[in-house]
Amino acid sequence: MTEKNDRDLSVEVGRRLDNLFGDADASGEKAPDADSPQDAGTNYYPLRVVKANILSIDWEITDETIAGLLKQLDLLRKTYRDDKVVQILIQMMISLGKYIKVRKGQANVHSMKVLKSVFAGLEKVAGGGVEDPDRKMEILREKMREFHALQARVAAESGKARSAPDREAAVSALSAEELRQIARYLADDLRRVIREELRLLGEELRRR
Amino acid sequence: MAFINPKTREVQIKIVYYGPGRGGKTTNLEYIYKKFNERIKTEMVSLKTHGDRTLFFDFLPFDVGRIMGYDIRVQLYTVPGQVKYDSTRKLVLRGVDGIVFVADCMAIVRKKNMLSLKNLYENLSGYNRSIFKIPLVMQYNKIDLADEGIPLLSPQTLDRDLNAQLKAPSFVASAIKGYNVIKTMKKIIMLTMPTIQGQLR
Ligand SMILES: Nc1nc2c(ncn2[C@@H]2O[C@H](COP(=O)(O)OP(=O)(O)OP(=O)(O)O)[C@@H](O)[C@H]2O)c(=O)[nH]1
Ligand SMILES: [Mg+2]
Repeated sequence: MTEKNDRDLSVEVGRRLDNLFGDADASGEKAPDADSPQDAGTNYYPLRVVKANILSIDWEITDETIAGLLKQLDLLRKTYRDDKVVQILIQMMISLGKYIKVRKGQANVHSMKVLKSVFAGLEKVAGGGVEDPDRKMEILREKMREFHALQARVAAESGKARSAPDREAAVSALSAEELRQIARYLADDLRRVIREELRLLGEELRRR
Repeated sequence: MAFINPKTREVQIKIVYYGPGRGGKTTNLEYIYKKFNERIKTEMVSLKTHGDRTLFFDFLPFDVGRIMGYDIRVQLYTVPGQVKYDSTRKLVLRGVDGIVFVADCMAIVRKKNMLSLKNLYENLSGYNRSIFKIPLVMQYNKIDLADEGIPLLSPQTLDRDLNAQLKAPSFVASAIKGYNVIKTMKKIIMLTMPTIQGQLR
């Protein structure tokens, strides 16, 4: 190739890339706009802190990051003392946080997803984005379903670990006894959440 | 060095997205694939593990077309960012033509960005290649989180942390929203051109 051809190659590749992907400046990619309307929830400071906490856990599960989350959730629970739906959502998050704290990298693959999903619900309900009580209940039920499904998976996992101690023990640093404790803990926690849920439903019905 | 097959007159340009775990490397490729798969007409290969972490790598090839008698093909790779997968990272770096370093803007991961860059430096040294000579683009990803009040590192801080000596072109980006994803990719491909021309000569 000659010098001129060399330049041409570069120019031509650039031209083809523009054809394929559009001119980068005009390809419809817009800078995230700080003024764009957002979830009302994320603007509320304590929720933002919780969100930051979740992001940092998603990034790396350490005692420190989870302690940060649990602390914030506890504060938030006090702030929303009077909102039952919010209370339950937070309680679910606390349970999940404690579970992830114990299991760390061995936590069920879906646990972070459920934690994020419950938080998304909390953002809507506590942030004022959703005000209709029926809609709030709907959100709560949806998150409860996800939480229950995860709980069932975790229970199944800990059962497996007991019946196949060798293989599972190698994978998990936890003893069968510890796993049983976690399962028991989750079951207790779940029972509490369900009791709350039933009480809430009862209140709802009485009000009607 | 780009892989050039003189018989079939094929040129392969290998671009590797490098950076700390969860920084958004896979998301860069996913955006390109989702938005342009109709046009680039290829498949993206993703090898995932526990959750959505990359285990081996992601791979997205596409043809740029026939130019001056050569079929030019670009291959985008990501490495797994988690510290424990270092041997895979080394493997993926073999024969790389250009690198996009995807740094995470979140303040809490400042150190991890620096460690990952150091790891890149070391792994390139393993192939007798210098990070100072290889085409490199810095991407400061997740700036959309600023809208959510998450504490972020400013581009200036990131430049100081990561780019003070390298002085590579840098872009802030939001891989999840697609902001500056294409710009980053075009830039790195264009930066590889001089070497490839040199090889073809
Ligand atoms: N807010 C926001 N989140 C992002 C952005 N880019 C990626 N993420 C999220 O960050 C997480 C990790 O992204 P990945 O693309 O999987 O990160 P990675 O660098 O491939 O991670 P490893 O494969 O573990 O090295 C995912 O939950 C993404 O949705 C971004 O620009 N903004
Ligand atoms: Mg990845």
